[in-house]
Amino acid sequence: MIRNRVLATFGAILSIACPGFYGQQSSQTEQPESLVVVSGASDIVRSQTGLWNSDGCDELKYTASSPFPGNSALLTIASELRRQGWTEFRGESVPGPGIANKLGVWEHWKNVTGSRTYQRTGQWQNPAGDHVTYRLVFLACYE
Amino acid sequence: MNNLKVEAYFCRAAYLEKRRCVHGPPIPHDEHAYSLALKIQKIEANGINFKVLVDMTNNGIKPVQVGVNGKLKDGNPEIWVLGLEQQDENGEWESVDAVCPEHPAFDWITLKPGEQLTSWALAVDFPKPNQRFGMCTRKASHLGGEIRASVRYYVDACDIEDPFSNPEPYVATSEPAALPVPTSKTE
Repeated sequence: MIRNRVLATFGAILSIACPGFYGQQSSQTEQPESLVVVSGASDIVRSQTGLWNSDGCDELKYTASSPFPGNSALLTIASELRRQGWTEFRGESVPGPGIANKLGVWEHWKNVTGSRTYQRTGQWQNPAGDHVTYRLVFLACYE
Repeated sequence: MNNLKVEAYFCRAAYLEKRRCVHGPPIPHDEHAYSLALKIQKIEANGINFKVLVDMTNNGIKPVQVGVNGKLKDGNPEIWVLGLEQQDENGEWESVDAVCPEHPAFDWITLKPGEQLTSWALAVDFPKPNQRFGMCTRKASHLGGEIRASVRYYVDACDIEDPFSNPEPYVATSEPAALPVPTSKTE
């Protein structure tokens, strides 16, 4: 299976100016509560046109002030998902946005702008078989 | 590093199942039935780089899939991966786009016969040859002359999930178009 052999690190995303990633949009749309917004988040963008299965998934993006490696945000998200009955996906990963070699670890690479991208992806599932994917990204500008 | 970006996606089980690859008999290669036409619609200077807008039209008789990676800021789909190339001194077409396709498309759009979409990618004026990023190398440095666009397209979900399994992958390529002469380097 390609999932097992592909190095799924995102090679490069040009035109991402550090640090502004998603612009200044903010919107409110009814979304599943499994899409968790951490305290102090800004630039919140909600849509139903995700990176993955664009016409069938809900998408949430935001920025937060949190020092690397984002333990506070990770803990908040994981706690809330567990409270809602979600369990971390342990099987073969479902291809999703930003799925890297391994789930649940920080991976990094030098992107085309010369800065370094750090990414951590986690997948969760609920008893109904729904999936939620979280991709956390830090950009280390101009190392 | 204090600036954390979070992206989260919620997908229902029924939808995931519908899009899952189910292996069946191989689909015979047929470029008449499965055909995608690319046309460079416009090229705009963007600093020292160029934004290349491309129209894609299914001009075959069967649906085809185009890999996407969400939406661009203008709402158009970001094609995974819309390749841009320019010719080197030996006439070889070399990549000048900025995305390294190190994984298959995780999402896609199906274009039925006659349907069209528009997207764009950035042609990058790399300052020196053999620029490496991720697992890709861009042999070309500096932009000039003509640009062409290319894209891999697919015939089903399995073709997308395991793009290396297709011995005859489908690739659409546009006619070349001249880069405009930049009026300002400070845009």
